Amino acid sequence: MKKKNVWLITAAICLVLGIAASLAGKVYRGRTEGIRSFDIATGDMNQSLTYDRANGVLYVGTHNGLLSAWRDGEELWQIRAEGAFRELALNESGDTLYAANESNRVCVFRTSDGEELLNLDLQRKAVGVAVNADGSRFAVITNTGSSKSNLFVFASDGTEISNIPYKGTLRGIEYCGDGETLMLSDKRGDISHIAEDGELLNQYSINYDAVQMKACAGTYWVVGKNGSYYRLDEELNCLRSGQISNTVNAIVNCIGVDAEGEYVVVGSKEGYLFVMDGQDKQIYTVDMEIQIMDTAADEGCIYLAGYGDAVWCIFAENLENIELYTLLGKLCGYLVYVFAAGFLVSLVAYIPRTRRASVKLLKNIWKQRMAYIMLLPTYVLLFLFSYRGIFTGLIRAFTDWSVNRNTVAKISFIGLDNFRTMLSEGYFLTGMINLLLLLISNIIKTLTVPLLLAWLLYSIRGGRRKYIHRFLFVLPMVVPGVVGALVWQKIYDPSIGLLNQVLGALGLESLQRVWLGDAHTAMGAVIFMGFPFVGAMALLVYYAGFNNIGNEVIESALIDGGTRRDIFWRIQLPLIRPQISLMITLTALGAMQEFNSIYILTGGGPGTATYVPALELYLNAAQFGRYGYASALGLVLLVFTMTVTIISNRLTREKE
Amino acid sequence: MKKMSARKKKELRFQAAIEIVMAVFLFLAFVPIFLMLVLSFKSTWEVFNNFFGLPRRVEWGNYIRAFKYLYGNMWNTLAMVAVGVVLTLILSALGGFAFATKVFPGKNLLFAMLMAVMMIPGVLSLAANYNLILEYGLFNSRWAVIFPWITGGQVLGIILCRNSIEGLPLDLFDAARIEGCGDLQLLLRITVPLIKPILATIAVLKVVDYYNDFIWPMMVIDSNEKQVITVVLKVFTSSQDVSNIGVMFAGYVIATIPLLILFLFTSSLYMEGLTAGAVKG
Repeated sequence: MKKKNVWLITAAICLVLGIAASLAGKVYRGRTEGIRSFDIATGDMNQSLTYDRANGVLYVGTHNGLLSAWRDGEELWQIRAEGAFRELALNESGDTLYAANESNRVCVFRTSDGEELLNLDLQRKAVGVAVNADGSRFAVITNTGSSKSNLFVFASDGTEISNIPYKGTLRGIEYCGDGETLMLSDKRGDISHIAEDGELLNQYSINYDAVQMKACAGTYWVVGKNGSYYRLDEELNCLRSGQISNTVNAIVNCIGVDAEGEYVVVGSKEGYLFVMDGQDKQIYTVDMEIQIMDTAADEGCIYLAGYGDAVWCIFAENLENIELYTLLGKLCGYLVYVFAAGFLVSLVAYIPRTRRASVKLLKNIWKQRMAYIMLLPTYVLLFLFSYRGIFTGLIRAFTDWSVNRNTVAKISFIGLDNFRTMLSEGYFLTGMINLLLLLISNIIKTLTVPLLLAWLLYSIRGGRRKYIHRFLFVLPMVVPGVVGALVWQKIYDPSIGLLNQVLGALGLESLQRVWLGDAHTAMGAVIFMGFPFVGAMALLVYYAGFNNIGNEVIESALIDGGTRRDIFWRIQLPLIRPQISLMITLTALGAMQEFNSIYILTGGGPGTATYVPALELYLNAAQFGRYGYASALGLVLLVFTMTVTIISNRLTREKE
Repeated sequence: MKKMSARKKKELRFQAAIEIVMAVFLFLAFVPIFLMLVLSFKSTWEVFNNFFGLPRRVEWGNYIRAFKYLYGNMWNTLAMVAVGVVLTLILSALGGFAFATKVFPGKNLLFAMLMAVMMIPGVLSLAANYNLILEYGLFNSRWAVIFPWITGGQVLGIILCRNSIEGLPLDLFDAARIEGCGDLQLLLRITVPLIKPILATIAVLKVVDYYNDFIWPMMVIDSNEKQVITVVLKVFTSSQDVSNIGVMFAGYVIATIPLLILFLFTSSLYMEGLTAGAVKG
């Protein structure tokens, strides 16, 4: 009784641990996502980015003057302007968007619908814009290109408050917390705190081209072109600084910080992305392949704009431990199976009847272990190279699996779309008509020449002569199928082909054709290949069938005065019906799957004149990389072949 | 007496008719082979100017050039086929022995799983299998071809071996077991020698099968040196221009020779194998 309870407790423990492992696995797998590509398609080269955390709206400005607002992957509005949007800024309530445009303009938009509120001409390239918290002031920096910059300060209605010339090229601007003073960064690496009237209040130098400055929670993040970055407060004290380990000599282009101000990302012109943790240790480096232009902060993640049609979301925290989480996720996945097995085993051991039966079974299995050992390699091979493929194929026939969507995460179920494509694309239907032609002609071929020859072979007197003839008829089989198809391709060759040569020699030039290159004759040429259709296998099968018929039956029929023809039609043919139906089945199955000779002769062409479904399957799998569609075609072929097999089994069973 | 001779005469006429019909069919069946042989000995000039005649000057150079092009892949193919066939025979004998002489839990299920493989067409999972090869890291390796070969090839082999071993007298096994013969000894010393004919049939059948494989190697083998002969022939044909017809056909003849030799030495097994394959498949 006690022992019994132990099993029950074990089962319970396994159940609890299994559920725990499954939950933990889910959590860990959720954290293995480090970089997500957003479903945002501007169709242009993204250049600037800002994010409204309160409303969850992401604004993207592009190189060719497209400004758009997005929420949850859905476009709210978009407007077209002339030049590139260099920087976007939002006021605190998020109802007004300020944009610096290279076409000498600064524009102000209402964020609810994209209505343009102001459009000010500065007569210089606007490269940066900032707005104070209440939106009563906004400031723009402009460049003329020759180390001369200007700082404009406007009131909310667009009246100019000040225009301050600046010696040097300004890179970035941010409003300070008081809503009046400004923080500027420039190409020399000077970070200046100035008043509205241009008075310099304080200065800090990072000694390197300060390519970008971002404000975050009252502090200012500046990054130099070499990849050193600094976090400064309003008094320009350096709170934190770090340096990327730049082994690839990347030219740094932008900086991003998450909302908590912990993780820092640095993007480069070459597309490298460096991720630093709160201790300024580099935790992740990746090549995104396109220039990283701008960043925006969110809680727990940082958005990136790529100089192409790309917006990414970086989960820095996950990146830090991505390998650990992947490992833990996998481990939990395995543990679930282990505990599930443990649960089942304990349960089986707990119930006396199943326990006795399973002990008996295990003993039996152990006794016969040699059989399992002998069969192990067979089933390992079958699992790896057969069953797995079949199951994957059957399941993924209903997905959009392709070369570009080749991971479990990217593949999605699309129901019967693949099968609809078959009907709409046209190749499949053309292929089906050709397959039907091949099927009928191949069955006619197996039913005529091999049957006649087998009967003649059977009727020959003398074992030696029989053997020699049989030998000679099977001999052409040694020519490999590929060689046979290649030779027939040459037979159909328009200039040196045997067919046209013979027609020429007979004076029938008018009948000469480009047999395989003409859509009218190509399918006929494919069917005619292998003339005179001595199917060696069918010949041998029929011949064996004739030999199986008892001699007495034939003898007695002969004595009764039956002619050979009578005997053939009335006695022999009915008696070799099993062989005939076998050959019909095999021919039908072969015709559905075989496409080597068509591939070699015509490759399905000209156009789609000789397409068959199996060839379409091969082309989709091997050349177009549409794996899901190829699997769907395979499933259709499986249904065909199964139908043929089942029908033929029915028929033979009925006869028996 | 007279009636008998009339019958004999009729029989004789019939036999003559058979010979004529068969001769016509044989001739037609051999036309592509004659064409291949005759053109392989002709120079390009003769191909264009003396198409139907026998070659006036035998062009051995065609064979030398074709052989130079193909011999590396020929050896490669023969080696791969040999490895594949040997492994298939080992798996067939092991599996056939286990299924024929042992009674073990799950035997019927396992055998049904084996039979299922034969029912499902190979093209069904072409795309999936291709991706599995990539996943296993076997792409562009000879094993990417050999493993799938033996996986499919062993199925028919196991079934044929099982039938053959079940046909052996049971007392033989019992006696050997009483003598203290272990399973492996039983298999190697007693069973294998007795089922040699069926193993030979399987071997011949599989050599032909593997040697003829075309689509799968084309998909999973990338480098020319590892490629099998059938695929190389296709490439060889496309790379030869019209001025090299003779070389092309010499290549076809060379590719046919291994199977021809096999057939000449094992013709009865070959024919038996064909029918065995048909009946079981």
